[in-house]
Amino acid sequence: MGLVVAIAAVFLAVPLALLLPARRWRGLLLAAVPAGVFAYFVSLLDRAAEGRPLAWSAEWFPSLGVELAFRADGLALLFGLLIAGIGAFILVYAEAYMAGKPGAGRLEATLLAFMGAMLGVVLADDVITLFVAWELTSVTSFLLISFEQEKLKARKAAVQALLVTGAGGLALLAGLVVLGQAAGTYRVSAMSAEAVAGSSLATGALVLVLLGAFTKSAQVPFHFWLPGAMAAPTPVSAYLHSATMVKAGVYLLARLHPVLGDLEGWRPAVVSAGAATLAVGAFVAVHERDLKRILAFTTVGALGFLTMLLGLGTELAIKAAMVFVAGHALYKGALFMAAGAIDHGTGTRMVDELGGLRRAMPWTFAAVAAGSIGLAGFGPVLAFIGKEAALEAGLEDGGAAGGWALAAIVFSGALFTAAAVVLLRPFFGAERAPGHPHEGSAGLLAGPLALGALSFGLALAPGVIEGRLIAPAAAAVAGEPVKVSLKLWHGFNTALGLSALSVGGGVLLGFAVPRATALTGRLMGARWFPSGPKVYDWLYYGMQRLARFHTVWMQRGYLRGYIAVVLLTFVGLAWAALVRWGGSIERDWLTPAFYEAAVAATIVAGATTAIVHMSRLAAVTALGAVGFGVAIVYALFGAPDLALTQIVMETLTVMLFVLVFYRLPKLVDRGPMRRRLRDGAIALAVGVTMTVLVLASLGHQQGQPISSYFGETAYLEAFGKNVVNVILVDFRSLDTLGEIVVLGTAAFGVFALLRVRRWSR
Amino acid sequence: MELLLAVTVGWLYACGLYLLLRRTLAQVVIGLALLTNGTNLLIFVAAGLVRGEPPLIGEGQEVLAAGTADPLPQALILTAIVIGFAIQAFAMALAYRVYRSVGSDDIDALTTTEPPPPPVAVQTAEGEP
Repeated sequence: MGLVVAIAAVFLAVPLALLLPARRWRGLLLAAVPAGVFAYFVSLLDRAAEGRPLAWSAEWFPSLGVELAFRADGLALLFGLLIAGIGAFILVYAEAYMAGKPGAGRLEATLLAFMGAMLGVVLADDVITLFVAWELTSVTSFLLISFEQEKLKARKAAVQALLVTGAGGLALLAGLVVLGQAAGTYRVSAMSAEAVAGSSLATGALVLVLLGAFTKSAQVPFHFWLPGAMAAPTPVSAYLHSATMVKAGVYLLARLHPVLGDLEGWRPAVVSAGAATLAVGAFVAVHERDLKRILAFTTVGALGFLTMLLGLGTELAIKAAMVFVAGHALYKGALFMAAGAIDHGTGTRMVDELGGLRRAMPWTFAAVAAGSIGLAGFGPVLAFIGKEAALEAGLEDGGAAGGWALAAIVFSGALFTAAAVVLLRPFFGAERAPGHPHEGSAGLLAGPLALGALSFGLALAPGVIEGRLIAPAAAAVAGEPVKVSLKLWHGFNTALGLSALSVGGGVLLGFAVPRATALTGRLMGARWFPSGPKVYDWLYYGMQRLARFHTVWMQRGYLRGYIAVVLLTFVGLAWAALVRWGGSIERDWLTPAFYEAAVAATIVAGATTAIVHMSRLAAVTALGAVGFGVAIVYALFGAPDLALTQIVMETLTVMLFVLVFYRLPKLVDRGPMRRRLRDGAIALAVGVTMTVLVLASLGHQQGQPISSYFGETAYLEAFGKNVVNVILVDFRSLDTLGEIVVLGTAAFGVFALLRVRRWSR
Repeated sequence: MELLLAVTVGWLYACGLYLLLRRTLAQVVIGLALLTNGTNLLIFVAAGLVRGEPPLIGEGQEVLAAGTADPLPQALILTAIVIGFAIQAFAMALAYRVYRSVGSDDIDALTTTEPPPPPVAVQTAEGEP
């Protein structure tokens, strides 16, 4: 129950954020909510470590086996602590960042809603519960990216992020349902790898789930939406696009690793996607000049790093991933928030316009320095421990996947280091800034400094988290108990050597940027280069063009065109059904008397006159012949009521036709002969089909007709001997009332059409 | 006889739909009338023909005798005849109104959903042109 209360508390703070006045204490007050949740999660750690995690569930759709289920195991708590902990700092930061600007409350409210959704994702134990929360994060993220809704760029980026993650979400929903079918349960904790592996659905589930995870976690080739999402205010970027939302995909991979990790396709697919993303992210990052975009691409790279480790799936790799999740969230959160502080203090985020800030902004400098050490992954920081473990995992693996992973880590390690150098350069040299640089307020600095300090503190005293947090989390991913002992210093070994090599190269590269990247930068900027945004635009606008073409082609604006399409479709479908039915229409017919045949001939002749004769009088006469002919048919075959009604209505119709046609111009059959023949062919095809359908239906009765019921009860229950009349005024009297309403409505319509004068010329 | 009437139904449909595909408004309305009759006859024939035995409960009897015509399709058709009339009346009034407003009975002349506003110069004080 506590888990539900924790999530609900965050959601309940949403209206609070909207209602409270914009004061500095509002951020602190709101931050108390996630801080409380953080403390609660800390209290749950021991249970998770002992292997009896807190769980809660309630029936949701019992008929489908779907539950509202939450479970706080080590993995859920690791992510939950990051979400709540960093979320608390973000709220304080957001209040200071917005500095009383309108909309601050809306921003904080949306951040809280997002936080609640995110907690739902990581705590969910039922895949449908997980999916609902997952989609909620996509929607709230859309709102957050488009927060500055008056900017076209922000709206575009938000739509882009929503489309990419939304499309992935659809794949994920299908994947989770398929997975549930394969496993026989929607409970993640109850799924068994054997059941899934033995199912023919396993590959489908894997592909779909990976699509969902890769789009959410911005893996190549879906990575482009994340840098675009930097259009959001910095608190949003710092929270969603570094620490939490983009990690949802990684979380999902980790969560389903025990179930899907042993499938054949997992390792090649996940490792290659992760390694490619790591390399691409790191590579593009050194080409960017905007602080936030540099961070965005390094985040893409870091997500690839985590994905790759989960793809390797060895015990060491999983441990490395869990440590790096925490380490990355700390240093990247600090860097993002510091970038916002720089933007705030100087008015720009372009590194080339900044210099010598360390004197004017010493605290920001400290935060950036701390974060940069994490980014470079070399020094007494948590991310370093994760990276060293990852290198060891790559070395230990020995296979092709391990080799590729190792290469990707060394390559990107250098580029990350170069990016870190680029981030630090604005603080050195001669003082340069568009505005007058000044230090941010306490609210802006508290978050980055605290996270930066934690990044160091946890690395120096890893004992605090290794047994209580990292071990249970790694155990949840590995699916078996894992012993974790984190050490900052492993002595001089191969991993450290590789690290030192890549970091050394990176430092050199960092000083050479942007000259060193000029050529590749030009290459990537070339028109033909298939960058993600270009492909997205091509698809996006291509789809609109296709829709326009399709609409123009299909919706020509001629009613008769639509009618013709409908008719031909009907003929096709009817004949398809008739051929499949394949029954015979031969049976004993009544032999027509000569007068009956004459009536039928009259009707046919009348209808023929109506289409060929262009005289108005002839048309009306022909219509009358058809109507009265039909009345005679009714009279001959046992339907006197119908005959009477038909005669009355036909008389009125003919009178109306005479009145109206008198005022209409002469009839002309417009259109060329070609079109007349074509329409005639279509009409004839339908006519023949109708004839065959009538004959086919005559000998084809399904079920028991209810007519006998009316015949038996008409007199005994409704006291009428004319069964048709009894049906109309007694059994189905409401239908008759409806009919009267139709008549009345038509009468009003006719009256209005004839009376209204304003339209006339 | 069923065969004969089935052909009649088919022919009514063919003629009605041919007219429905025309460009002249009055022809479309006539087509609608033919279709109405064709559909009513379709239901009537498809229910099975019974010569001269209306669904009436005989003198001194309490239930409908076997071999009489089916009352249910008749009830349906009776409703349909009346509603068909209502639709035709409305269609004719609409055709008349369209002709008066547009000045043409050519459906292709209907190119706007609203008639162009009357010129301001001829507007009287009441707003009537």
